[in-house]
Amino acid sequence: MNKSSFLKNLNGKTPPDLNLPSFKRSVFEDKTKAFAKNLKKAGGEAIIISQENEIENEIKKLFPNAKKIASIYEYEIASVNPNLIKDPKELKDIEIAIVKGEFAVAENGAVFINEEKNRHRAVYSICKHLIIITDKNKIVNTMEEAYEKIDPKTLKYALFISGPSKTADIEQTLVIGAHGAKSTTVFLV
Amino acid sequence: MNHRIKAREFLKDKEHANWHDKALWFVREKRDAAAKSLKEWEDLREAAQKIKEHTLKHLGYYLDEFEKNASEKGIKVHFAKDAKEHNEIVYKILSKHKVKRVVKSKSMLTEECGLNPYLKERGIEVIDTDLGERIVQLREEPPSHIVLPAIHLKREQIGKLFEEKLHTEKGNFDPVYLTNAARRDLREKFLTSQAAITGVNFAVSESGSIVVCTNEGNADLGTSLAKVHIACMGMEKIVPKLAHLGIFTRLLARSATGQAITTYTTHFSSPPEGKELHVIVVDNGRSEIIKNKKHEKILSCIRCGACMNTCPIYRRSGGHSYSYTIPGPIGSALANARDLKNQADLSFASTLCGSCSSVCPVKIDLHHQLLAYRKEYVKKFAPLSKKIPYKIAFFILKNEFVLKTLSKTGNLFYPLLEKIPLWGEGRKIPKPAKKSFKEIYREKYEQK
Repeated sequence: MNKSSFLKNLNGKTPPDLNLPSFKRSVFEDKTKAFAKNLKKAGGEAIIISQENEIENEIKKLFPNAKKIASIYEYEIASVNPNLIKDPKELKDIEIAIVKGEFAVAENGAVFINEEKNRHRAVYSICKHLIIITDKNKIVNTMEEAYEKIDPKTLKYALFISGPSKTADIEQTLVIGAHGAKSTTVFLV
Repeated sequence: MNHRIKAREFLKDKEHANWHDKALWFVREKRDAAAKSLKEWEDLREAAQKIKEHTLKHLGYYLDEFEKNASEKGIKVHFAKDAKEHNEIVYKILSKHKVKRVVKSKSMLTEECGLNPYLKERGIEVIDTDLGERIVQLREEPPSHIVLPAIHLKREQIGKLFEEKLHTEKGNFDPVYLTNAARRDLREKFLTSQAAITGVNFAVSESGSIVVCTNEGNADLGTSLAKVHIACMGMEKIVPKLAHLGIFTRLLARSATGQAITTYTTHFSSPPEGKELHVIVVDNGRSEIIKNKKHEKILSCIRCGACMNTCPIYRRSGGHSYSYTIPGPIGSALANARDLKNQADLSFASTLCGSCSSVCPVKIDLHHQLLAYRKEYVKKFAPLSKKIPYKIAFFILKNEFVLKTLSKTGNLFYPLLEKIPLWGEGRKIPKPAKKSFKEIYREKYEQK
């Protein structure tokens, strides 16, 4: 059915501004600590490092046997650049994916990812282990603050990830690693 | 009138019914802990309610804007007036791409529209990928809960099902083992499907985005591997601004499972290069509900399932006892809005305790809704066998003298209430007191 007949029974007039009551939102004294705690609750881990070049060593320590490491950034340990692959299904054996986050959210351990240069969205969910790198000085308190930082005009594809993929569909027993990454590690630089 | 008949079936296995009750209460307690951890919880509910009310009032405008903004970013938006049109649009897109197998993440709308059997009849295999939904799909039954589709099953039942369907080890009922088996099996399906269907948690008017929230990552994996992504949404899923998601993402997972947020909260405003993204906006009776100002607010629901987890009737009767796609208090209200005559029994599947209303993140007055539907039902459709007792009760309760006399003499008949067919079943009538509260009060205080 076309749009105009679909909408004809609904109110299409320009609405007045929606004014929401203002109220106090949670504020964390130590946002880094809160983020790490809430990420842990979500099954993930936060690691604080002082310089970005420490990352490769840290990853080697965490996953000494990993061979297929994917990243669109130039890391020595990365053996696959997903942007050079045509079909994302070829990424199916990726062990580790290294991606970059825009900012982190203290209240729930989520990181906002908006990598316009990344060609394959599958990178975030097809890998066995996900590594997210983000700036430790860019942690917001709550999701309201988070959305203030996102521009609706330019938003194309972006996501929040909080911890590894999980399910509790069998008797409410939490199992880490449903379809997506079995572990999520966030490096706060 | 079949809710209580099906509930009776469910309650036959007492141990299982007890376990079901406790499993859901556990989820309710997690929700409580999450809600209490935020001092602004009530403010968030208030704001969410206001946003939804406002949006429903101006839905035509916001849907129009959504379509414009989404189209500009490369999404193809379709409009379907009912289930039939919705299914036809999905089929048309799939056949254009010669799709034989499609992976689907959770969507109550496609359940409502009967999409799976429709596509199956036309030779397209639909694979539900949410673990709970996959389990009920393999059992060829509908989900019993909107967030926890297989909450009615114990691990042994799932283990045996997997032995048969996925050839897992005999007698291994470990949830980790079973989840891994499903992961392996579904991985292969993800890699061999040509299209992905998802539901929609929120659609943002100003940015032309749809937002899908999952814990498993099944929507993300499915949509990113397929050539075509079809997202199916009820027209009420719109919110005006991206900033409003700040409120809803804080409420949704906390209300649903007690998590601070789902693992993945993914915003789609454009298809990946060389691929297609379709959004189907479905009416299917919703514009009729909007016209009814008294019941319009039931469309504010964000499908968190909190009202089910807390409902004493749902917990003790199971989702399959409700004859509507969505069970529990919100499902009963929606079913009544669509077909009061045949679904009115669901408005009686409630103790009217109000627990549902007090946990609802968008503050739908669920128990008032159900009470209102009862009234409408009795006025319009109730048979004389129901109407006459109501008339008698009304007469007695209105006249103090009659009430007093009857409650004296009526005590004699009181134990007989348990013998009333159906109504009395399973009810324990307490022994009548010798003296009424009023009499005791008078004796104690007024004589002095």
